[in-house]
Amino acid sequence: MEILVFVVCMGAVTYLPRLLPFYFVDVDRIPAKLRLFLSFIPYAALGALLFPGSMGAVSGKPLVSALGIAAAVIAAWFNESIILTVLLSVIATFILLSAGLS
Amino acid sequence: MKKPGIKEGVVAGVPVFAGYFPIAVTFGLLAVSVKMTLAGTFCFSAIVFAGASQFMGLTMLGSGAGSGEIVLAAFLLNFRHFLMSASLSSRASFNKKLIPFIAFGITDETFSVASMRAGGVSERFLLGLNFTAYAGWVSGTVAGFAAGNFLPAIVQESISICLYAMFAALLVPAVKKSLKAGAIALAAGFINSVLAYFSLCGAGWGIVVSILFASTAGMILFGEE
Repeated sequence: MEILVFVVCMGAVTYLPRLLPFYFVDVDRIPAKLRLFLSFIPYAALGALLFPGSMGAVSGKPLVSALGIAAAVIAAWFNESIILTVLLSVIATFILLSAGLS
Repeated sequence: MKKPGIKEGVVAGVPVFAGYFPIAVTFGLLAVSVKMTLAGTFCFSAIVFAGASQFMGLTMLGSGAGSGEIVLAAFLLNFRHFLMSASLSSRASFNKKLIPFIAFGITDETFSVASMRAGGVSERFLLGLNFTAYAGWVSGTVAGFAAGNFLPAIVQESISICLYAMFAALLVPAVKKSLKAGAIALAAGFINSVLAYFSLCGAGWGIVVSILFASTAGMILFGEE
């Protein structure tokens, strides 16, 4: 039940920014500064999500987590496919875990 | 020029379906790893339909953040859709009754496909496009959840890197194109790490505060051109 309330709230804050502009906003009249601020949010969010959270990606195993993320960064540097990057990172993590690293 | 119809929309949506399905599988797998139920996971994808916010929500749930913090962070993250909808709404006149359905399906990817399309869009085209993408997202989520319950423990443990690997996969190409994006991401990560190290606030609020500070700093420092 609690999770449903949470999901509905998440749905509302996702839906409203998609819906309201159709009725109220003239895109040419959004101030340039605000537009710039809004355009930076995704990058800031990614940075804040990655650090320090990614160091605990594999619970209780910081070294494996850090190396697994490093593998993802290297993979993402050389290819643009999200799926391939994620797959390579999982494989690297699997190998590290199999080797008994923590 | 003849306006594109629902069929053209579905065709344009196929690559988005193909792109969403595996990411949604990842979401389903991760939902298993943070002990979500099948019903909760399904509702999450069916009601919210937003990749980044959903992944952020799961990450924050996993780190013990409260619902209020997660919803506020999602609201900030989703503000970019405000701009996309505004831009799309200026490109055609829409039937008022269909707007609520079209608006529901606007994501980074469907917006990009619609915006880059030569020859304009129509409400039927957008409906076809958006709901093809939606089908990929919801079906992938369920498939991922099912798979997550059958995998051996070490594979499940390896999969917990997925989410962060995906964030890296989204960020790294953006940083290669724009150093400003990299500087803002680093600043946000640094602020959040400092907040976490000194336990200044809960993990969820740390993300909210970091997003606001880093984006504001970016606006002030990079606002000249």
